[in-house]
Amino acid sequence: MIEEIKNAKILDIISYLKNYLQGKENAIVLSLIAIFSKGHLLIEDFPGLGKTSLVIALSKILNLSFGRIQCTSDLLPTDITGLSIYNKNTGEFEFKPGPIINNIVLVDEINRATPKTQSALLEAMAEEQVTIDGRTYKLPQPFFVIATQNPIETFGTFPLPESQLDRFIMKISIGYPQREAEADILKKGSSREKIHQLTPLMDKDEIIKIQNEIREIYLSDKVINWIIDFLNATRSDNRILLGLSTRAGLALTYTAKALAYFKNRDYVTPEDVKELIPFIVTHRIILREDFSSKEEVILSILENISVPP
Amino acid sequence: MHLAYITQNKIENFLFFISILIAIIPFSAIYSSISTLISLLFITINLIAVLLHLKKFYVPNSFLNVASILFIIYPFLNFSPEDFLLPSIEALTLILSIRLLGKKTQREYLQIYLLSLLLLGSSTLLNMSWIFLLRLIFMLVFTILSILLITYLRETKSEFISIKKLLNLLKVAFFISVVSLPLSALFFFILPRTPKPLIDIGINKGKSGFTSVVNLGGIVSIEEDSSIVMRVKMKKIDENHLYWRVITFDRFDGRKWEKSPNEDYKPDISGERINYTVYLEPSTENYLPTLDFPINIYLKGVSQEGTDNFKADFPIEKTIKYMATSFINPVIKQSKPSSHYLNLPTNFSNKIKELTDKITENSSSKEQIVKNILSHLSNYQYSLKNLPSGINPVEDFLFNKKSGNCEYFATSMALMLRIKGIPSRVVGGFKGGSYNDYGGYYLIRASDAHLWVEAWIDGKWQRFDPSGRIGRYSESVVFNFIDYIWNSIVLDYDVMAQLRLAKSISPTKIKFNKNVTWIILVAILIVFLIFKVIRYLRKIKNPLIQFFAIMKKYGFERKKSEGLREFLNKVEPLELKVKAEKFIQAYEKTYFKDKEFTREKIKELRNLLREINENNKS
Repeated sequence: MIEEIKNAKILDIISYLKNYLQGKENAIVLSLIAIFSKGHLLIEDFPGLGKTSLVIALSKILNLSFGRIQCTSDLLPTDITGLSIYNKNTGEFEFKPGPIINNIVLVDEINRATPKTQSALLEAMAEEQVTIDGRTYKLPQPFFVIATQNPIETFGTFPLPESQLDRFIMKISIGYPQREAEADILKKGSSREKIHQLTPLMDKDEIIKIQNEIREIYLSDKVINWIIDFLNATRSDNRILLGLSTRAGLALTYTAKALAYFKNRDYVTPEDVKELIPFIVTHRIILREDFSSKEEVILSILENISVPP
Repeated sequence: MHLAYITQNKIENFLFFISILIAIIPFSAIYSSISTLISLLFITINLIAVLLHLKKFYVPNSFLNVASILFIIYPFLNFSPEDFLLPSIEALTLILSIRLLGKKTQREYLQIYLLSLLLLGSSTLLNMSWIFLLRLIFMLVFTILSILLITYLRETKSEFISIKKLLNLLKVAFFISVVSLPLSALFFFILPRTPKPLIDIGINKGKSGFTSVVNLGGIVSIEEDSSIVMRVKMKKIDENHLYWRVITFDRFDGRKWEKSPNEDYKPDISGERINYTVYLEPSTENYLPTLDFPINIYLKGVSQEGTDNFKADFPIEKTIKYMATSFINPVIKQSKPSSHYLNLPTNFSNKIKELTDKITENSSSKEQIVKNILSHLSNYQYSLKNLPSGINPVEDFLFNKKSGNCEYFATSMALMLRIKGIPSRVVGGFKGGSYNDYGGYYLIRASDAHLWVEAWIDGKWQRFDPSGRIGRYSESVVFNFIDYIWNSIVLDYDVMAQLRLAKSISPTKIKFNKNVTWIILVAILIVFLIFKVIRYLRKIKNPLIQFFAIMKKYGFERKKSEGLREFLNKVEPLELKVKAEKFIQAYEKTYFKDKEFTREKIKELRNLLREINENNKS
């Protein structure tokens, strides 16, 4: 994926971040795609693989404010959104913004929060605003949530239902680093300190500008038809219990446009979509039985749809 | 990106407009035949329908259905079976028009189109000319376009359509119509060809022809008729030779000319031979026109009366075609003609005799007599109006009116010649005709009808034209030519089959034999093959197909589910991959941006392909 990226700005960001986040190139590209297609990202991975480093690095290099929410089962909605506190001196209630009032928000182990808190969070993601004591606060733009969940430790967790997962434009996993990359990390030690010192390469206005440019990328009916064929195939496949929603289709088009932009093209090809399908589709479908992995089912469906031209 | 869209409302209007057009097409074919009242009603209802449509007010369908049923009953109220067809067509016209009043869903539109098609079909019962083909094409295009549009809207469930798409639909509609035309052309071979109505319901005025008896003043009715009598395909000849002989009259009783039933003479004819083909429009009489002087007509069922008249043994109900041979500049030698060429009417006026003697007082030779008579008659006025009449119309012409048409001139001259003892007769036919240079034929109209005189002088029959009229108007060349082509192509197909049809009224005798089945099968096969060939040509012309063909030579085959870039990833070595990538890039840029593959673009792609191919050779 990375070798096809030709857009100079994006390439700059990636090559810069690569130095600090060894072996996480794909995760960097995908997160950037999620940011620039105005979506939110879900990372399903084990602890200690550099999720936090990735998010901080992104916030630094894009010059965005960063907030972090560590989810536990006693986390309350107000712990996320913030709350009004009585100020003795002024005699008034003062709004203390929660960690969500930031550009980039890391929600760690989202599946540990109670459904009530989860839904408050997801609500804020969807509406891009929070309401506290009857007052509505707009979330800053751009607004980007990276949530993580641990796939192994499921005891005492509240797994997100597929309908909620649908709100995340992508689900990725970082995975263990390659041997050399890991050796490199061990040699140099954690780069967290250096990451905090990163110089920004972009600012908010530019991000918003790029986001809007990406939405203007040309998407041919031919590609749309192909996407719809794919959506319908997942809906009618007898191995799949829950097929893809229209929101999934939208996610495909938005991210494909972002990828096309990264590749310096002003039109989308089916390959753009295909490349992103594994990260966009898997968390949105439910298999009927555990036949095989979701990836295999998706691949076999793609095998049977003819690609234009 | 700005896209032009047509909204739902506009589409409704568009569909409605097309439907009105479709309804008007067959109406244009029949409006001259149906009664004025019905025509007016149709137009009025159409206008009301437009108004209602604009106001979005629709007449309830139940009401329309009741009205339709009433209209269906209407033709049955006429008891006369001959009059049955026309009221049916009128009823159909009205049903069609009121259909436009109601709320129109897809079903109503289809009804309208079906009714229109029915009406167009029934219009061929009244009249069928080449314009039918035009109407059919328009109707096909519009109907298919509209059905495509309806289907498109229903299938895509969209409420609007871009102008580009609409134009595309129009293209498709046109294409389908054009492709279906060769198929519909088959119908012309299968169905009996009918330039004349299948059922003669007396709407078309039968063309008056020459009968074996002509009353003085009777030709005028023919001369006033401007309808086409025949077309004659032949080379252009001198105008003075253009006398079309139909019938020879030898007996005059003072008021009418008659042809002796079995007058037979064997003249010795010589001259310049000329061959030609006649397309004779249907007429009420069986005498067949030929160029003066005829030798023979090549057509079955035609008998020769005398030497110079030809008569068909069957009623000429359709346009018929025959070949014939004639002499121009003929020398018609005959030893001694029968004495009745000198007969005068029994109660013949002496005044005419005296006048004749006076005119020819100092004539010594027969030639001189002829000359004097011609010069005397040249003082008379040629006119189609206020013709001489009375018990003795010739006398009225010579002494009172002093004006008349060719009949009076010719009759007067023939009588004067007979008074002077020169055998003479009157020939009925046509004179002149306008030559169509595109089609290479003469067009002769009923108004070209003419009578002239033949006199036996010096053992030869010689032609004299005392009225000497040459009056031609210009003809609309192109339309007549199209008409001619239609006639000659559609009618030429099998003349014998037509004659069989003409002879035996029962149409079941026309065999839908193996030949027809073969023709249909072969035609379908040909159309199918043409389709295949076009598709194949398009395919091999498509640069992408060529690209895949070249890559196949290198051993790389693309799977259906592979995108171009995915396919490219399989390609090696690098040199080839780079070239292939260039091509794919160029192709993608046009294809996925929905741009048109222009000539230059295809040329560019071809060049890239050539480069890939060069790799192959080296």
